[in-house]
Amino acid sequence: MKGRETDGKRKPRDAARLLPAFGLAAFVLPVAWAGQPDVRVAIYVFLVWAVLIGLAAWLARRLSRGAER
Amino acid sequence: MAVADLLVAVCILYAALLFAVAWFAERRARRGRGGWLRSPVVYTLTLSVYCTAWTFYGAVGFAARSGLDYLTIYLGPTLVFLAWWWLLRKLVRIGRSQRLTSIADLVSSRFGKSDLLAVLVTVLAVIGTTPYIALQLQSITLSFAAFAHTGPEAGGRPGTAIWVAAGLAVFTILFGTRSLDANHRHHGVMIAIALEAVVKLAALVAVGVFVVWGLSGGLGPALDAIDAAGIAAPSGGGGRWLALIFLAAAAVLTLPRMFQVTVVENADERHLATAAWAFPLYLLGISLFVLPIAAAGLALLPQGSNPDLFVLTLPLAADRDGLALFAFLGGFSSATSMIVVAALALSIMVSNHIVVPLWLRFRRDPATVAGDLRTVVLRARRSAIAGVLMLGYGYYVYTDGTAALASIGLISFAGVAQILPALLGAVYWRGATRAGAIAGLAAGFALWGYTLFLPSFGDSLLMPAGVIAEGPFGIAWLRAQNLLGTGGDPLVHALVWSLGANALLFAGVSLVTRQDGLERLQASQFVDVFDRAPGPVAWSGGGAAAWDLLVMSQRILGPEAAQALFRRAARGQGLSGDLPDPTPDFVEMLERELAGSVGAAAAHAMIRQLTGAAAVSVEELIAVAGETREIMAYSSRLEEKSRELARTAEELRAANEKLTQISRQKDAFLSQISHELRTPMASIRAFSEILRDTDDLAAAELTRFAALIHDETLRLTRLLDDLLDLSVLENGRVSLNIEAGNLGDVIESAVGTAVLAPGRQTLAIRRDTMRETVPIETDCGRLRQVFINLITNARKYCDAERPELRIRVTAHRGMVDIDFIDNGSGVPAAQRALIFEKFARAIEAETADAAGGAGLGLAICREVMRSLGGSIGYLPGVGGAAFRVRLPRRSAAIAAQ
Amino acid sequence: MATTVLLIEDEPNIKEAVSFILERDGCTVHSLADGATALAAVARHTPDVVILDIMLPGQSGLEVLRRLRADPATAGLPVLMLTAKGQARDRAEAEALGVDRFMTKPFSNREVLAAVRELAGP
Repeated sequence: MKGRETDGKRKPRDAARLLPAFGLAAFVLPVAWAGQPDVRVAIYVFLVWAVLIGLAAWLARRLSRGAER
Repeated sequence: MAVADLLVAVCILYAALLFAVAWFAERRARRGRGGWLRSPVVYTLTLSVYCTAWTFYGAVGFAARSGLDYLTIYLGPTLVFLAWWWLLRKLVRIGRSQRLTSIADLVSSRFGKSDLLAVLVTVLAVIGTTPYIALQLQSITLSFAAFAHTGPEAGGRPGTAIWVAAGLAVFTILFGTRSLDANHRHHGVMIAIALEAVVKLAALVAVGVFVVWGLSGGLGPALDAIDAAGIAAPSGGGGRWLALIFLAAAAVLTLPRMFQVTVVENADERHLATAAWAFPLYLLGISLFVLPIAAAGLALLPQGSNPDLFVLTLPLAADRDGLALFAFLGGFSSATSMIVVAALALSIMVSNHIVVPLWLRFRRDPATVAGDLRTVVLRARRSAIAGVLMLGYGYYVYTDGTAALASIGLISFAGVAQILPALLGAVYWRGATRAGAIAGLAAGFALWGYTLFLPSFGDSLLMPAGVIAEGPFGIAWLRAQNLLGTGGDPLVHALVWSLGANALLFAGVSLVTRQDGLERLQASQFVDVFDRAPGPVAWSGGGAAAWDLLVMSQRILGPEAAQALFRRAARGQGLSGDLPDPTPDFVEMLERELAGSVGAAAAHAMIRQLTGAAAVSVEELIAVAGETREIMAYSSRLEEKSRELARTAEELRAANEKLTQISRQKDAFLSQISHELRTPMASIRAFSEILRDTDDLAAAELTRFAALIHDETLRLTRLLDDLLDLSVLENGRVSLNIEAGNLGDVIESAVGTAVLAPGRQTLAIRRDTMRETVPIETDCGRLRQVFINLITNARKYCDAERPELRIRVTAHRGMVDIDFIDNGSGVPAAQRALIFEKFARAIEAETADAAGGAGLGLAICREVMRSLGGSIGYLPGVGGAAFRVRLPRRSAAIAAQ
Repeated sequence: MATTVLLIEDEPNIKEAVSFILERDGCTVHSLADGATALAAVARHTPDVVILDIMLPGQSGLEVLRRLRADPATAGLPVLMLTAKGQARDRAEAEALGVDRFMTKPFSNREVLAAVRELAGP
């Protein structure tokens, strides 16, 4: 039981640590399209951005709830 | 100039609104009803001070010129805030536990509260921020001009800029220097900033919505327009894209104003959890409409229009004056909020790290000097605000507002990014040293200045165009934008060189230098901030009078706050007065409090001056610990020695006592000898005189008197024999007659003799003859002499009504104990040590012993037993007088010795 | 009337010798071995002269002398002290207590006799 509880705490933390790395990797991709102006590049960046924000919000809620407990 | 007047009026009204909001917030906060002022939403909105006029106007220009590159400026901070859990949270925690006042304070505090580092970072921040402030002034002037002339031609009136600068200085001084304590949050400023954040986001979104749905004719056409403008991809290579993301990420951490709002003004660490997603969302919102606006501007406005003003000129061109006014206010908000917070942050740094240390250097004794440090610091802060704004204005006038907004912003970013290696090292690398931080910062700063900052002026006195193109003195490989022949994008070039050298030197020098004690302490306080309770940082040797500390604290914290603090501390120490003891704990706590007002280095220096305690080094700590250990060892040695001395003294005292007693005994011995000799001699003389002088003595009398004379001469002889015997025994020249025998027989014989001897008392003797059957090899005659003596003593001295003597035999291996225990009152403890001495009884010589005897008995017994290889001693605690004779079963060997 | 002498002496042989000498001179001699009985005897019947040894069982001769002098009835009683402890200290103490004559053992019979005669007075 205890192990699962710490797991439940540790996983959001690990995810929170990894999120910026994931974001950086996603933001590196437009480099490949450099020089080929296409509005879809911009749309991709904004979509990734929005997804990251969503993930961050979800993780922040998990983490602060865990911290309060 | 009706439009210009209208703009001025709107600006003044808007400024009045900001003043009112700030004033209202301050009042609420002071009344303790500012709960909502410290909400996560407000915190997130204040973070948007990141988005300046550079964002509001410049982003569109940036996009129009370099395509998607403008996004990097927001993607970097987004990544940083996604990393809030392990990066920002740590910074905020450290900031709170160390009561940090600025980014310079953080670096200085971590690296041993170094003044030099603080000054270095402060100077770097001032130089890095000045162009940025100029940029804001420029944008306001530009927007003013664009609005007033409703034409594309840029050309500001410097008069506008100076009025704006002055107004902002007043605002910042009014709401930024109300309190000295930087940890006392600037509610007024922050709420105004938050309001401006809302205004600028709303303005930009409004313009964006108007452009997409009003000008472009919907989302689809807008996207097509972006495609057509060719601005929907990174412009340069991947290197520039990544470098810009990195630069923006570094800047959001190291920009003084960002540190101010993120760390110093943070009221609750948990607000970060909201800001972690809300701030990226804000950034996304503010950059969302940049591309459509840029595309529309490029498509709709005439060639040569300044893209930095598209946000304003598009509504103006479409005759939407209301929207244009709103956009103008958005830009105004962006610029003013940045200037206010930057001036605030810089003024704290300048006053804490430059003015106060200088002031302290010139005033050796802060406790007794006339004047109030508080006013000194406040004045320093106010002048610093004015000075920073003047610098920005000077820069603006000097560059004549020529440079593009984006490039000035990036130069600033690259400048403050030099702090990044030291910052990250401070927080994550325990081994980073002050020397490393100084070396890295200095090198990075110099290279940044040489490769980016100075060339940014173009052809100037500081760096003429010839030098930029040919290198100093024509040395080609030293060309500012082509170091060692490298080239490419000047920004990336400068960034790689400056930050590369910075990080390398920081790491390299840190590896080869050592930390001093305070650094090491601070390093663990910073790096392990999550592992420890916020604890004391400094160590002061104490010695400061609490009163001096209070006098000084009052100058910095103000009398009420300082007195309340001291009173609390005194309560905490369990004291009834208002002054606590200046314990190290208290001094540390006070230092942290003061650090919140004047910075760690200055607080440390002040406390150090007062307490007279030098900065503590690990060597000193070790020395102190070592000293303590040594002192403890020494004191234990001393204790041991003093115990030894006490023992020796006790022994000496006992010896002295014994000597005194022996001396008294010697006197008594002589006296006793005299008595013992004179008594028989008196009889002999008296009777012989009777015999001589009396003629008519009866025959019986004659015989009797002659017999008495004879007895007395025998008594004299016996006495002399005893004395000689004792003398022989004591000198160890006794000849023993060792023979095999039985202990029981010896006791039997002794009892028979002693009981038959003349005496006043009858003595009952209890024996256990069975146990007495112990074969012995000894001088049985001498042993018998000892037993007789002991039994006779019992007969003489046992004061019981029915005297009784118990003879108890206990056989051990090789030894046998014979105890003689009577039922009398025993020998008083004081005399036990003496009874074995010669003529012991003579000590109490005032009363004579009717039974006679010279008191040599026990002394002789002791000598006899010694020569038999055994011992005799008094046996305390068994009731009456008790003597234990310890005899080896075989005495021969011992006797032969 | 015959002189009565109280002899306080624990050494039997000396007691016998002194008694012999004094009785031949016509004195009545009561001899006792310790101070307490002697004091009691003095209280019953005051002798003309007291001969006192210093070394006695129980009370010492000096103590007996002190008590004699302390009692007004016996304060003027002539006392001759005989002692085998010929130390000056004892003599000084005895004289401080008001002894009439102090003699060390071994003594001359004639001197003891002369002292008793003198102390007994006319």
